[in-house]
Amino acid sequence: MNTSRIKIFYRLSVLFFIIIIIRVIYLQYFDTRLKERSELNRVRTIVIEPSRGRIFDRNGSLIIDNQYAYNLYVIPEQFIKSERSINFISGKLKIHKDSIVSELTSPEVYQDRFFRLMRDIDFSVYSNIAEKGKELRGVVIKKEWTRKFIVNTAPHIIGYLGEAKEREELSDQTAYGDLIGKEGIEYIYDDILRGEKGFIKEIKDVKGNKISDYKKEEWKEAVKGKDVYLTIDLELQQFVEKLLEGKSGTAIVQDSNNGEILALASKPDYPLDIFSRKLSKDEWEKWSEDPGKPLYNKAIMGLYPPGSVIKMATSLAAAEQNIKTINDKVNCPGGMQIGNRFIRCWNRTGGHGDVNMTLAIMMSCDTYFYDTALKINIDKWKNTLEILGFGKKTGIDLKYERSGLVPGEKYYRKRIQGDLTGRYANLMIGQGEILTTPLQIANHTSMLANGGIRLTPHLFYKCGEENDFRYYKKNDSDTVKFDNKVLNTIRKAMYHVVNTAGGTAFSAKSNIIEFAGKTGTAQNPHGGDHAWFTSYGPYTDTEITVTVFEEYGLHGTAAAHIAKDIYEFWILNKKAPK
Amino acid sequence: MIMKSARDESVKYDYWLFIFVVGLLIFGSIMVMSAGSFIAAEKFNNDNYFITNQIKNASLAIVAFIVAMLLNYKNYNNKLLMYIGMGITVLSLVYLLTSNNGDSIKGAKRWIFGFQPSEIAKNMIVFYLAFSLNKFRINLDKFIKGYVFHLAILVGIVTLVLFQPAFSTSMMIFTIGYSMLYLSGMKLKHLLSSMILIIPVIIIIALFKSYRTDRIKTFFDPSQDISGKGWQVEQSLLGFGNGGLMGSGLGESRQKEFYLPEPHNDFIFSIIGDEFGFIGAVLLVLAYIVIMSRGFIIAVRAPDYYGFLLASGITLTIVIYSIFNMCITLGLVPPTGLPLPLVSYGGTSLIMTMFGLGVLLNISYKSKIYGTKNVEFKK
Repeated sequence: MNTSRIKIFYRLSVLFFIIIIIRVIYLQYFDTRLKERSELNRVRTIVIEPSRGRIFDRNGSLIIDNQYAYNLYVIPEQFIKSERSINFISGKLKIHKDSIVSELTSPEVYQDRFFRLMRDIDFSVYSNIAEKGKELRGVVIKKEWTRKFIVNTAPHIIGYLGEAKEREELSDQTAYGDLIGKEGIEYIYDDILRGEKGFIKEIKDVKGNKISDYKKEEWKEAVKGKDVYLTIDLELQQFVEKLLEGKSGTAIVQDSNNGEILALASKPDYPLDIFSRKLSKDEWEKWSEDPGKPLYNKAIMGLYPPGSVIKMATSLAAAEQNIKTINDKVNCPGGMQIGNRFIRCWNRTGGHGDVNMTLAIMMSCDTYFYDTALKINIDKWKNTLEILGFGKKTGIDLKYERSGLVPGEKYYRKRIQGDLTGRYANLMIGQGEILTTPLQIANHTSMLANGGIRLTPHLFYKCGEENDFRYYKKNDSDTVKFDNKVLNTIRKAMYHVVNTAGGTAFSAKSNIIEFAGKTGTAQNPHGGDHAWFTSYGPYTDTEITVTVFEEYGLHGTAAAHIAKDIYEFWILNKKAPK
Repeated sequence: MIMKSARDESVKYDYWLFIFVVGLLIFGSIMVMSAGSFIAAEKFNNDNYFITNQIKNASLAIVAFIVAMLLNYKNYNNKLLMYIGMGITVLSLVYLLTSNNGDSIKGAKRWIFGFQPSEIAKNMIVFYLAFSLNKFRINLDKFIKGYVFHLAILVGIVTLVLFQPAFSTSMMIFTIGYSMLYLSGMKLKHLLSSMILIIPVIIIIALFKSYRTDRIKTFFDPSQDISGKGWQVEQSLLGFGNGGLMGSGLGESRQKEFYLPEPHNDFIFSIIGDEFGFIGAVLLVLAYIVIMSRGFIIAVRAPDYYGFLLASGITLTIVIYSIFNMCITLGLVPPTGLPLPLVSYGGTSLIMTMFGLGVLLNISYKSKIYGTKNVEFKK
């Protein structure tokens, strides 16, 4: 009996030892992942940041460069465990210890890799830390690239960089805390500008001290980002910005033939470099709550009624629907009875007398367009406006562009019962519910100027290096077939607006360049009316479109004077095409 | 082969056992030197800290081993000696229990005069149960006078060790003691009946202390806490993974560079797997199987019932400890601090283990001289 019991123990123990052997065989022979993991366990990857591509204007003038900055890195697994390091650093940076620890222990942070705790530290902090040297465990200061702002211009276009913190911003090329483009060109062309990260690998002991290099043949060099050249002409851009200084509004200069944006300014704006620092809460509130909306790019984000600058589009629509030929005349006694209301022309006193299409645009006669409203099919009118690019995004390479609103019959039927003619009369002259962005106005003006070629406004000119430039890839541009006679009449009328006595912008006529345009006044229920002026020039062999929008500018002629200055600057500084 | 030759030789001691025990002791010391040097350098500023101590301990252990070999094992079957030994064990356990006063944070004080009472208790219970079961062997079939009486002694010691606190050692002592009750020939229905009560109690104790449940939790999901408790097991497994078939070579394990806590002690098997690979690990397991086989054979051939109980108790101690330690390093059971007999760094436990093995060899010697009574132990 005793031997049988001891045999049970013997067999049981042998069984356990066999299980142990099987487990050893499994771990050492079959579990190949374990071998890899045991290597990776000791290998640290050190990422080498590429230098970011620079940003130039179309002529090769440097706008954004790079410079070295001292960035403070920590290795979380070492740093958090060292009371001394963490107390010293939190004291120097004036950040509370707990908030550092909670940032470092967030799941996106690799515990054994360098993590950037602070960018661009002050020299005094740098020298303090450098003095302590190796006493501070897990703390390293690296000299790295940062943005350097050569000229303070076009903040809404250039945009800025920020640290990647959101889940959707992270990828295999972007780690938590990396600088990535957050707005503007820096955001849209981030992939081109960013370059590719390199890395080296080294073997470390459990405390994070380097023991040796690891698999040098697998190391990867960083590829620096490509330079980006904008379509912006820096001199023109700065000139336009200066013209708008102190005003609230936007001015756009576009190449009428290919959609390139030569200048785009929105005022008030903000200094280009403010977001490269850590912005305090107060500062941020100051900028974001300013009533002038400096953070806001009015050219693409501002929605305004177009006022009279829509009259070319309305004329085109009316001609398409055979409501008004170019010669049809309407008598303007200073307004028109529609339904039970008398709606006034802007010229309340005498009226404009008999006006045809040319005169209606030249003098901006509202009555002529009220008459159109009596017969117009509003959905077809909407269709013509959409062909001209209203009611949808132009597709410019910037974030946050808005599409505006062109109302059709359905829009009103949902909201209003009864006769809509009064509403339509208002729409025909660009008041009421219709909303456009200044860029849409500019882009449609280019279409009128170039005979109907639909353009995508863009800021990207080319990227790369000398002899290896990649240029902007044009979409297959389609040309809209307008009745040439009508189009020419409209163009001629726009010429008269500026260049003939009686035109609404005659006071802005230039002696050195002939340009054609149209003024507009957008009613503003909140204060002074907004001033519009959209134009193209030179009148023959047109090259550029200039659109100016000034908030509280009261009347379009104010905007026309700004445009005149732009044309004159442009023609005087025009460079021979490259 | 091993079994036969030991019988045929003229040598009176079981020399296979002797060779493997001494071999493992030497191998263990080499491994302690290899595995502990990094930690020793860091902690004590002396690469050789552990190995120096280990050689001191091993020397003492060999003295204890030889003394035990020469002393007639029947000397331990002595009422006075056993009562005094048990008394000292209980007193030192109680002394530590009261002096710890619950202010222990990680591992309470477990030493007294350089000895660990819980380690001594582990060996004492084997000797005492062998003595007591032999003395009262008339009563072994009886429930109260036989089974409950001995169980009470065992549970008393286990409880004292448990509240040291030394949970894992107390569980080991219980397992070894209970196995001896089983081997003594007690009725199965007695043994099984109270198990129904004992098992839930063990589970409750295991879940009671939070630091223990933490360890058990991380066992089920090691990735949960990579730098905490699960880390040890993860690192231990990586050690085996790195070793592969042939091993990375003596002294080449990187896991001992602070990746594994106690690489020279509880996790030395992982370092062996890393440095000697699959072949080294399996050879080590086979060495334990040889020691176990010889131990059980000695028990079966013991000259008397007392010798049988003592020999099987000593063998069980080594077998159960080695199985548990290996299972821990292989991630098969939750991690807890148990040394690998003969190989791990350690003072008291090494000396006690070697003393026990000396006694085992003496029993083998006596059975050669007196011949075996084999099997006929029934009271």
